[in-house]
Amino acid sequence: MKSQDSIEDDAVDDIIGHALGLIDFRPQRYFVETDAGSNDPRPCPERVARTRSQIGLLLNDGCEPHGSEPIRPPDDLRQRTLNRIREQKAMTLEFREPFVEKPRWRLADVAVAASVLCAAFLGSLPALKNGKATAANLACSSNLTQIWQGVEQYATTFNVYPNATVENRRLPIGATLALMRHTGHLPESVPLTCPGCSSRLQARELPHWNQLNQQSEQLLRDFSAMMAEVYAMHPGLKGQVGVRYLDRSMIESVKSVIPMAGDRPPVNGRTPLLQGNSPWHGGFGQNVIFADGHSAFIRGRSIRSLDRDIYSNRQGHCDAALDPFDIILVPAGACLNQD
Amino acid sequence: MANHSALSDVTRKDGIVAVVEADEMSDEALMARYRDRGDEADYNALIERYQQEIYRYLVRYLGNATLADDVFQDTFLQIHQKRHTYEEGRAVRPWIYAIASHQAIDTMRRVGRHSARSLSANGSDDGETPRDGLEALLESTAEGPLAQLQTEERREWVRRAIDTLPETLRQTLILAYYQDLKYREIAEILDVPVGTVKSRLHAALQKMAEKAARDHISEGDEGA
Repeated sequence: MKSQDSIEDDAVDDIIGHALGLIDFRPQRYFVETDAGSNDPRPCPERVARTRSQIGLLLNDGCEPHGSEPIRPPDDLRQRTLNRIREQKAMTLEFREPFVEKPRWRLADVAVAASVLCAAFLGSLPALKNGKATAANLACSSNLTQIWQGVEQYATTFNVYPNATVENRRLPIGATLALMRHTGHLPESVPLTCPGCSSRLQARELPHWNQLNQQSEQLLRDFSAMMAEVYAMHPGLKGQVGVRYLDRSMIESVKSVIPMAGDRPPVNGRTPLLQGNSPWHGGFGQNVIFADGHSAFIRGRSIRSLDRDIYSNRQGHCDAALDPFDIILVPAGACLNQD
Repeated sequence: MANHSALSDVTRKDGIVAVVEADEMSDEALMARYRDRGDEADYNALIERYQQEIYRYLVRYLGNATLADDVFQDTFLQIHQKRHTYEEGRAVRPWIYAIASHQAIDTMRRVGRHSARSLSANGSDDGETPRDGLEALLESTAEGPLAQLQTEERREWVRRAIDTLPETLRQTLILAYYQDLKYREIAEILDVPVGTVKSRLHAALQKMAEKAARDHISEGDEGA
């Protein structure tokens, strides 16, 4: 049972509740309180109004809803709140993406990509090979041009084209390069081998001309081996006895078809084979530099219809030219028949 | 022109599907639809409905408009994130107020704002304060101690006095007097029985009345 104080407190709270509108006037509640014995459970309206007025004095701070001073949210508050939600949604989507999406690359995708790359690579191989071959061809042509410049300077100086075998019958054709170096017509840095071959030899590596004339068999054998892959040279003219110089004035009108140097022919030991192109350019042909200074890549062994083979004289021998118009290049390691 | 996403499909008893705009829906129906569909238009409508009163509540409770702005956004971010916890038929208003109150309390802890000081050394913060004198004051027909102050002075006194109330009493007073909520709704927001709400409100008013009498007397003494 409630004490008297408690009942009075409840009455005060009830008045406050009514004064501030805190009580729900639900029909059910009203009838229950009515059944409790009172005709009207609501406090006297005058007491409620008095209480409301006193509470107003205690609590009215002049702002809404009981005062006139407004408390308004900033105009953009709603928009900023919406923006934060959008950012939150975007972050959530970003976070979940790796978990909900399928793998970016399936095995089939990788296989297709790999096959496309392979096809592209294989397709580009010929181009790469061609590019490499073209570069080697240009380098080879450049080497031959440098040798020709030496030959031409020698011919300008001595009116004959250089030929070591005229000086020493036992020397191979390649000794002519040592002779040119000795006379100062071949710079030390000139490459003497085609970029397509396996060995590399420069003019500075040649033995001294005086050494070559020491008549040492071992030295000549070693020198011939050294010359095995060096550019082929014009062997000079066949004379009544041995070899003679190719006179500059003799070929003046046909310089454009007289080869001075070129890629080595296919050989069996030191002997040129009768068929086949130089091995240094994939067997497709050989670079040749002519007496007038122009170089060309010859796809066959024939330069003129009258002369079928660039690597043999008109008698079909790997020997000196029969006349100034006989087209012939002899491997640098080969010796001529001096009989 | 109504936004299409703010429309709701409602199946009537006769089986005809009717389209209802968000403006015509109750808070509860709107919240339930936002929970189910997540349409931004529904969310926008909820903010529109509550921004005025929630912002006003937060400004009063936190005493700082900038903080209130932040907490308002946090509150609606929470509503978005916790929308799946909203139960069908539950009153939306107390639910939103409860979230706003928790966010405000978290913010006050974070920024280091201390609870308001008690007006009186006597009595506890849970509403168990002596109740003598309040009935006499409220039912008095005589002019109260504050009646002698100028309007602006009285308002300033009210703000300072409320700010010095204990946290629980201040919160209850704000919800009851300034936010026009019912006992039942305040009880749901604070998660306490209705009786506790009544006693807290009683204690808050008691402390305010005591402070008014004390300040009036001390001012009178100084004047004498």
